[in-house]
Amino acid sequence: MSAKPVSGHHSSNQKLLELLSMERMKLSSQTREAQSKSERWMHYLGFAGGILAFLAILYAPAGVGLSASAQAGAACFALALVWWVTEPFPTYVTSLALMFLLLITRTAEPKAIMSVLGMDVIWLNLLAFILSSMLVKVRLAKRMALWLILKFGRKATWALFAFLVIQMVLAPLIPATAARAVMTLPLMIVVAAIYGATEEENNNFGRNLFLLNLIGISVLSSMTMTGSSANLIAVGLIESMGGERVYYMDWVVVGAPISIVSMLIMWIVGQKFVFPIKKKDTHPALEGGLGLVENQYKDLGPLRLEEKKAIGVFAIVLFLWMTDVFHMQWFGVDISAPFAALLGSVIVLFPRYGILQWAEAEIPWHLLIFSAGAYAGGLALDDTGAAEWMVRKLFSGIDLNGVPFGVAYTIVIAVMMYSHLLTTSKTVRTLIMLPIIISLAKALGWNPISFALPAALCIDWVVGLPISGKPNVILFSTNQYSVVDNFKYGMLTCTIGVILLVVSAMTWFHWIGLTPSFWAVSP
Amino acid sequence: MKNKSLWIAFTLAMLNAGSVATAAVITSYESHLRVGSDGNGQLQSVVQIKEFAGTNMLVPLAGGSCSEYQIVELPNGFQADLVGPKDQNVIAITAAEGVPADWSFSFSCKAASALYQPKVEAGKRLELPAHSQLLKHSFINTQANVIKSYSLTVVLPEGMRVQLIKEQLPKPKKSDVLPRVRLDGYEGHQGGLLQMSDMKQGDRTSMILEVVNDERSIGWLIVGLVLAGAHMISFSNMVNNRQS
Repeated sequence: MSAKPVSGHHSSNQKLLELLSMERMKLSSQTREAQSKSERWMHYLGFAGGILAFLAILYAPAGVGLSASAQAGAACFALALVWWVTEPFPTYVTSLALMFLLLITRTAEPKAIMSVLGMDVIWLNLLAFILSSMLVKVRLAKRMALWLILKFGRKATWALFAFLVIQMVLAPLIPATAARAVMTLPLMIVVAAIYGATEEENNNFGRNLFLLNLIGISVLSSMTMTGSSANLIAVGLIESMGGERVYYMDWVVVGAPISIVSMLIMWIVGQKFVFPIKKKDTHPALEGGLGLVENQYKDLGPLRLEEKKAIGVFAIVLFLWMTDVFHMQWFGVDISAPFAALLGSVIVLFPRYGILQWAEAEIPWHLLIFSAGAYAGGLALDDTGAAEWMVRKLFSGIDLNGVPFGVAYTIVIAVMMYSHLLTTSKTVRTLIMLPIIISLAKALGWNPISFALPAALCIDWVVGLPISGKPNVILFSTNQYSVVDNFKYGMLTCTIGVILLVVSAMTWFHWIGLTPSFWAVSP
Repeated sequence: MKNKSLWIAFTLAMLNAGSVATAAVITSYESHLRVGSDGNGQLQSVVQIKEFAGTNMLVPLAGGSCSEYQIVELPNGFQADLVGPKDQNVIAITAAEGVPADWSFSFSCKAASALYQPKVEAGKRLELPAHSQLLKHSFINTQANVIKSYSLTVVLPEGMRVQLIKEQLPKPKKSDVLPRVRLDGYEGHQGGLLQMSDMKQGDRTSMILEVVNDERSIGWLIVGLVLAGAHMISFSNMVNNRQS
């Protein structure tokens, strides 16, 4: 009996070593196994639950502002959401089922459904995975991860902090969140493996690592107004509808502290309370501990030619991602993030001088199909007007006349923050919500910017579900956490964001003149 | 005789729209189309004009054509006649000297078969389900005067609802706050509002609504419940404690 755990331990160590010396980055298409009785029940009841949600919405009395296709689209999306969360079968099968449902309920045209697989985000995922495969093949990912562990990761908490800093540095440099997710993903997988978190054997270090990165990629985009194109749209709307110009530093002054403080809180709260890391997982799980990590790092030797080539290719792509605002001036054409990755892929796959062969590129098609379904559902909600209708209903159901500024502000911020669960597009959400918020502020007699700018800071917080944002889809494919884990962690992040924004309105937002007194009543 | 002179005026106006057009701005052009259960509609439009300086102008007609055209309201000193060939009708305004610069008028007309089932040519595939009907509307500002705000509100008959907005043009830009077509309740029925601002000469806006009966087939309920039940039975071993 006593030999069994030892052999189990040996085999687990062997697995970790295999993962660490990975030649390929493998993202499994297997459904995550239910780990508890309650998860088994969720899998079991999820199927019927999804169908009941579908029927309840489909047969609900129709709102006059809703077309029949929008109502059917909302029903299909609800079904898919329940199935994605409860996972009665793999998420990509749910996506395929959703795409078929969108067709037969006449929610979307066949061409619109099929064309999601050609969306720029899908292309970016595909091409970025080719680049990630290159980093893994030449062992640059391993070198960087080992270096990171040796420098900062002697304890789990500092390994997590190192990733927080990486995401903080990358956020203002690379606006494309999917690009940031894909370029840091190989590092996350290797570091998770060092701490004993694999897709077969999850642990709370892995959950913290992936979910902290997930929220970091999104939330830190709200540090600057150039963090995402939706932020810029919000700035445009505030200027055109609210009559107030928001300068770069105006945004940074209010946006950066909120997002950085939220991240620091989640870094602590995540590992202490949400997914407490067991003592045994706070140090590298490999037999031999850091000594082995150090040996592995030494074994890599000096940078090889292949690694230097990979650095060169990555530098070109990174340069193009970072300088996209100058492309038109320099090249007379805008090289968007997917096309920069496409150029990198051409170099990487170039015969004789390249680094990778097509067969070595690890492209997770199941992930792309999952994404395509999620986008098809999200677009159907947006295109049919269902998302807009739901948001309008949310606001019109609340009478904010005569209530103190702080109460109205809190409701606006909360609705803005949590509304990301209703749509998969930040741009669409911004276009729907900001005009309503600006009009509401005017109607209530407040300066529009006092509602609109804090609300705009919530745009990038798309962290509640694996389908809420592009990085979420990518990180979810690692099978290191469940949909429920994502929901729990994401919702807590959003709640902390709402609390910080409300406390800020009570204090320094008011001191810098952004908001009126919290308890002020409109004249 | 009167018709002949109007035709001449219309032809001259179309040939020399720029030179003949009176300086004026159409600040608002609001139309309401109430559709009856027989599919026929009644259109009523209110046109508000500012900075009118001259004696005549042409106003494009919402929908492009109509029958039983009637003026509902027109200030003294003005005349508003429907001219032009079918599907290219315009309203020719003639004014006496010294009329006010800011004024408005309204008119109504019948829109036959506003809601219709498209005919399918023999041998061609159906493009719509048998129970669906279409409502099409397009408006082109054929004249030189800018229309600052154009809107058309469609009110559907009782028991009907929009299945799908099949077309709404021009596609709203990212900077546009409002959608081109918005569905809402009007006079207790479902309807749609098409809107466009700053229409210059040649600008076009249009919408196509697919309209269906406001009731759902019970088929979804049956299929859904059968599938859910079948899954509960055949996958019960997922939560069965006796499973291996």
